[in-house]
Amino acid sequence: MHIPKKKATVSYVIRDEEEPLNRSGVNALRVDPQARRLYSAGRDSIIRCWDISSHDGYRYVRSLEHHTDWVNDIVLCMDGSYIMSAASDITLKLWDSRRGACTSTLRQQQDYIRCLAYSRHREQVASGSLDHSIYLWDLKTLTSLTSTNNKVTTTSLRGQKDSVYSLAMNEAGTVLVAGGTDKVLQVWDPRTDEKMMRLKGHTDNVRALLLSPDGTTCVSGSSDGTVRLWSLGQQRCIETFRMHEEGVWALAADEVFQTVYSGGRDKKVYAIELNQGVDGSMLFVADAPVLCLTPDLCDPQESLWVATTESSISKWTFDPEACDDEEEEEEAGEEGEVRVGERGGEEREVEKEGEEGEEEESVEVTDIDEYAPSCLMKRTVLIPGGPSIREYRILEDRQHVLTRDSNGHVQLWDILHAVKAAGLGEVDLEEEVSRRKSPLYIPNWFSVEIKTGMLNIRLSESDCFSAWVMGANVKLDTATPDLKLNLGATAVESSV
Amino acid sequence: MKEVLAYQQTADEPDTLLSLLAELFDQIATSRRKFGILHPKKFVTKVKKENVLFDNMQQQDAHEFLNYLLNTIGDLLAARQREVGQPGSRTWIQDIFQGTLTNETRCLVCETVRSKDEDFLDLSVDIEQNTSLTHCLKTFSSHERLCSESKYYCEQCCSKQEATKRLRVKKLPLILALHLKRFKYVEQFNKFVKLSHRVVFPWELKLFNTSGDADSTDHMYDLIAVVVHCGSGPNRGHYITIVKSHGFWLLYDDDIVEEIEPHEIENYFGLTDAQQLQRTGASESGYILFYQCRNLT
Repeated sequence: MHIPKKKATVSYVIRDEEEPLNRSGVNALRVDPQARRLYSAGRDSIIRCWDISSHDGYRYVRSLEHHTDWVNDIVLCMDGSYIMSAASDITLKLWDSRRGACTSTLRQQQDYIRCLAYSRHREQVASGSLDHSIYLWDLKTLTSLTSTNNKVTTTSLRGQKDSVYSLAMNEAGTVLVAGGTDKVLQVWDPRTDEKMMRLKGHTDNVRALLLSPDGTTCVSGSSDGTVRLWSLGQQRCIETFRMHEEGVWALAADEVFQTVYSGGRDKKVYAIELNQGVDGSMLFVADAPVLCLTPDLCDPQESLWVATTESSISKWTFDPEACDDEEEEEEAGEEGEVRVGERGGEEREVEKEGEEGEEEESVEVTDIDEYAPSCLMKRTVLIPGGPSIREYRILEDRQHVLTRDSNGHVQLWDILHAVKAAGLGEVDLEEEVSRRKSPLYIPNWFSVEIKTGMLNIRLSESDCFSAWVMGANVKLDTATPDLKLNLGATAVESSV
Repeated sequence: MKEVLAYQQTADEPDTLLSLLAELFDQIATSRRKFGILHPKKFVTKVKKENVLFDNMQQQDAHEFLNYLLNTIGDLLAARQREVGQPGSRTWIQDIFQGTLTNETRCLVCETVRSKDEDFLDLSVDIEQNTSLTHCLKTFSSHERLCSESKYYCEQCCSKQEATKRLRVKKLPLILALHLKRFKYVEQFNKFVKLSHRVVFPWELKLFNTSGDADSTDHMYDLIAVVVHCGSGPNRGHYITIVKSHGFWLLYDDDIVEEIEPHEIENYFGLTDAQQLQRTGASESGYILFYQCRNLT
């Protein structure tokens, strides 16, 4: 069997020295209530720390940079002194949060690591990957590694048959649940690796999971648009919530596990009171599809930190004024509230009682002023984000790249000097490309990636030195017109 | 139905494949004799002249020929339309045989679906041993996961993510030609082999416009013809055709035409495992199936 030799590649990002703003969507958020800090895990590969001690503001503290691809999840461990992160660069990293330094990198899994789960009492972390594996890690061991004593043993849980997209573990570390593309919730006792049960019900990928502190109740969110409540004692689904119109990607619970918050692709965030029957009330509509929700444990008012596919992070707080409109709401026919489907029923029974008393199938509340009366929360903090690069074109001169970002602005980058050459504003990308055509044929000596929202240049040993150009055609101070220059070599030299 | 198939052209211009085909139909229809044999010499010579792939003494593949014939006639009709100033309008080849497939890819992270439409004149379907045509068609439209090393580059996420892909029939044609993929290249033996798998095909086929578009009614299709490949391998063999005509079934074997009982068509489903092992029974298996839509409105 022919196993192709892995090509050596070098990649680097052209960016500012420090990036205090998120440069792409944010996959996960965690609050450290004691230190009053918010940590964000970005698709731009950076974990950021924010001071949220003032309830209506924020302050950027630092960036934790070491990952090279989306950071998919983070957990705060050992009383917030350590952070464990999981990324699409197929590594797990352990960070000393006080110093802001990466202390260990774990390369056990062989595909993107999508999710983490943490048990405070046992100081244990579980990591779930697209390679179907789930590994358990002991933090006491991990945090006491030294350069001479750096061996870690880990155990993998067996039974997961498909890609893992969500994990949950209770504080006591007695129950672990995993969900993913096989649509089934797999439950284990992580102390014994024993498989406890499989819970069927979802009809699509399971994207979010929550476990009650005592490990008897589980809440799941799926791409099938439903939120389900499961009793682990009875081993079945006891409630199905159908407020969402699209996939549910984020779930959070308050400290007493009475209120569950859900958000996803339809941008709407709902609160479900678990013991009050089947209603899910809409709290607010986010700016973009919701990736993560986490309650702000420092704020005395009920509030949620929200991360979306856009780079900004917002805090939404319960708005007591919104309640005054409740009377108005009842007259208008409760547009904001949505009656949720029957227990275990398959059909979508969603009724919106307008003045005409019509029954409609869609939940959309577009013809009325939906934001004021229907929303129970208002935005109180906005941590703005920076634009992300969404498109690129390598120019024919093979020395420049044009990019277009999420704001619609076009930039010109000088690859030889690894700098941004110009911001062209809101122009047409294709037009700019056609204005910069080159009569010469020059082979491609680098490739571009924009998965982190920033410009990533990749050089491969097989072709990075394949482009030779006459000095006259190179925009370089040191170039002699009639001497041939190797573009790859020049780029490497100038970055040293 | 038959009228459409017997579409006639007058051949006052140089012979084309279309005019020669029409001539064949014409000769059969207007022949004074009640029965007889017609040698399609002119037609075959023209095919060989037009397509170098067929210009040899080797035996040829029926599906390749069908594909070539339909496409060539389609092109000729389109050319005629351009001449008379009606470019771009549909030809009767398209009206009868053309359907549309849609290739849907869904990123598992952002859940955006990208659809790409593709027209077809026939569908090539993978087959499995001891299955039904319905089962094979279901597999044809089943989800494929793009993951591990072959992740999908999602333009929304600007990165490689897991995705599911599926082929769905967006628009069904009047006559659905189904090509059973009986000839497979086996890397181990470094050659093509014939799969004599037993694939049961029904008289009636119920098909849905599976793409979930507005027209989601199901369509009933009736079997009207079967091209059978006889032989154990891909290089040598014989074709016979079974056609439904005026309510009864006829079997055409070169110059022999016989009426057969409907139940005899079951002999052409293919071989069971046992039959294949014992090499009993000549491998005569349904290769191209033609189904016609019942409601022709």
